[in-house]
Amino acid sequence: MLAILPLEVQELIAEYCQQADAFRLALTCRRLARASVPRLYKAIVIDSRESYIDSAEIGHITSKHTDKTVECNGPETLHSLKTVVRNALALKRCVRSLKNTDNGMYTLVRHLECYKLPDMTSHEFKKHMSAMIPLLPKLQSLVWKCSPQVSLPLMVTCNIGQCMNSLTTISLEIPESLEACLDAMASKLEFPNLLHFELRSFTNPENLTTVGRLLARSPKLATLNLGRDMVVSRCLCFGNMTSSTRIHDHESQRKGALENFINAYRDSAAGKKLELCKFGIDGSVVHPKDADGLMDILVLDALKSLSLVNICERPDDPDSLEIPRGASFLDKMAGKTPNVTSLHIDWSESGLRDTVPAYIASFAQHGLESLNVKIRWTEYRIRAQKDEVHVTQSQDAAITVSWEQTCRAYLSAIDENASSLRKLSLESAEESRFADRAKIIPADILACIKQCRKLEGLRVLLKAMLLSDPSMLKDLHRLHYLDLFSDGGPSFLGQGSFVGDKRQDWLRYRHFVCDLLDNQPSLSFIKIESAYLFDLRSGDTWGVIGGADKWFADQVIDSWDTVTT
Amino acid sequence: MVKLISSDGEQFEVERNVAEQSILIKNVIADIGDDTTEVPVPNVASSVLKKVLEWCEYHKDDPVVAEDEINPRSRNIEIGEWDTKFMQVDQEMLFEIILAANYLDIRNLLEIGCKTVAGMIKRKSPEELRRIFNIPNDFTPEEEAQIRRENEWAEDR
Repeated sequence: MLAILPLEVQELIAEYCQQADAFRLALTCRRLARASVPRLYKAIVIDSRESYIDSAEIGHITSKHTDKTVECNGPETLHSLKTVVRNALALKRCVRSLKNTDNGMYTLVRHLECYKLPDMTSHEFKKHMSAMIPLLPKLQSLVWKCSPQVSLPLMVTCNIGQCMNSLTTISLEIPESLEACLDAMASKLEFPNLLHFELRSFTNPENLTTVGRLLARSPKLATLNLGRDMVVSRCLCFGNMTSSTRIHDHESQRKGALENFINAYRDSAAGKKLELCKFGIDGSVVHPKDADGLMDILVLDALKSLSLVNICERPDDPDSLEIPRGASFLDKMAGKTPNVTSLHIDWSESGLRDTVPAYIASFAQHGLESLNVKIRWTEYRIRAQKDEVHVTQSQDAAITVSWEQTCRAYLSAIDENASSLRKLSLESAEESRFADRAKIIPADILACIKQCRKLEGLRVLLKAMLLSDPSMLKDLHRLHYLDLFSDGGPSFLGQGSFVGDKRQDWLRYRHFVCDLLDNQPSLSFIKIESAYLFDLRSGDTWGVIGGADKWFADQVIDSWDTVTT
Repeated sequence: MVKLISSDGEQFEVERNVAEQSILIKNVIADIGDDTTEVPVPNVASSVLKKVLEWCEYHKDDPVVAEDEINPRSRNIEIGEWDTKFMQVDQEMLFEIILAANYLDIRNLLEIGCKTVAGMIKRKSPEELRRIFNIPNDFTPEEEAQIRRENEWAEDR
């Protein structure tokens, strides 16, 4: 009977099949081939990584709430509905099949993602990809997270033209060596229907000049993310470091990426504003006047989600270490984006002033639903500033703020949004000369979050949670997931990294989870230290090794996002 | 209450919100605009309709998801315990339920049914699949070889 079902039902069945099952189903008869072959071509993912949850470390958890012990299968292959190409042979065969114009498979591809190169040289890979991409006239989404050396020349030389009109999503990486290509891209290419653009990571802030020009010709753009994956904290940028290690050696670095983007866009867009619902930038130096620029090029009422990460303000005078006088970037932005409900902020001010809490509190009127914030503080900076630079009296007052006071300021700003907040990620770090060190928020201050009665997701430092009274969560009746991340140090409970130790860790965490669950029946997922996953609905736990973070992000946090937005 | 009449003439009286899980029936009722209407369901036999209504009864209070909000991610959500048991029927009934869900436009039931079939397909060779589902092989050897050659790149897991 399977063979005579209506085609649309057969197609639906094929979509639920894993790729190899869909392939074998296609070999049974003509009708089923017609239904299941298209499923294989819809979304192609080139990725040789093994992303899996290791089922060897699986155990069971029982609690008062879940009496049954379920035989546990790890989650299904993480790329559901996508067809993964894992090795060179498969890629060659895939390209061969797409090149065959008789069967028309090339018209089926809507989505192409590339992560880790299969086992072939990048020259060979480039050859295959430049044969493949121009073939795809209906490509809508291109995600390129591998080998930036390949990506841009590829887009330019292989004349991505065929799919320019259909592309709605582009996600790219750009290395410094490819500025020329990027320029070529900006002058040659135009994506009139582009909805989503993500650049991550780029190395040179000058790149954003090109991107600004390029996007001025994509009027439908709705989400924009410009990420550098680079730590830009005040300590690193302007701190007491030898000049060779400073990242702001170039004038352009110092000028800041955001300014480049703003200027280039403004010059090319002829007064047309970007109507983004999502905007994110990370790894940039900004100046308060960039806030004015941003307001110039964005339709602020449209913005729903804002991400300002790894950012610090540059001084008016490039040679001084002082922060700009007058209103800060965030002061200017406060209250200007009335519809933002999701904020991610990681802003380095090193205690010279602290405009972040006031900025978070400025959203209180309509209320943030999702907040991801990193509390930053530094002791080193205070000393450096005192020793080397003349500080004004008000700055002097600011820099003597203690860690506790800083935490209190942030938490009370969060508290202002308590009635609306549904998702909270709280990181906390002490800035030092070379990197950030996680620092524990004092338990009594952290306990503030119990005011956030609507909270559904919480991400917080594991140690902070273990040292706190777990009953502080007991009023959070809607809490759905907990993500407890480690501070990068050795495992808090265990001894080392041997499998046996992990087993021990897991057993100890299990007790912790069981305790927590007794107070908190609404919890469905707990992730600990990026490695231990507890699925409390079925009583399963998945440990250890690869895939836990990705699985959690895909299945728990993202599905939460899609449910709530 | 709504009266549904199966293809073999049997009548089922159910609450309106149970019957309206089916978009088809919902539209019919909306068109007629009368509460006590009889709705013929000529494509569904009584044994199948009984089963489908059992499902609708159990899920009558589920939140309604609009068509355009259906997200591919929601497809990862596992089949619940009750639904798993509900789908433990012989193959013919399973496909009858799927056909009925498709005809009556009951999206969630259709998805659960298709997912159950996808589970039965898992890790089976083409020959096994033909045997299990009684699929006649209408390929010529050349055709079969061509499909295999063209798509073997996807033969991974």
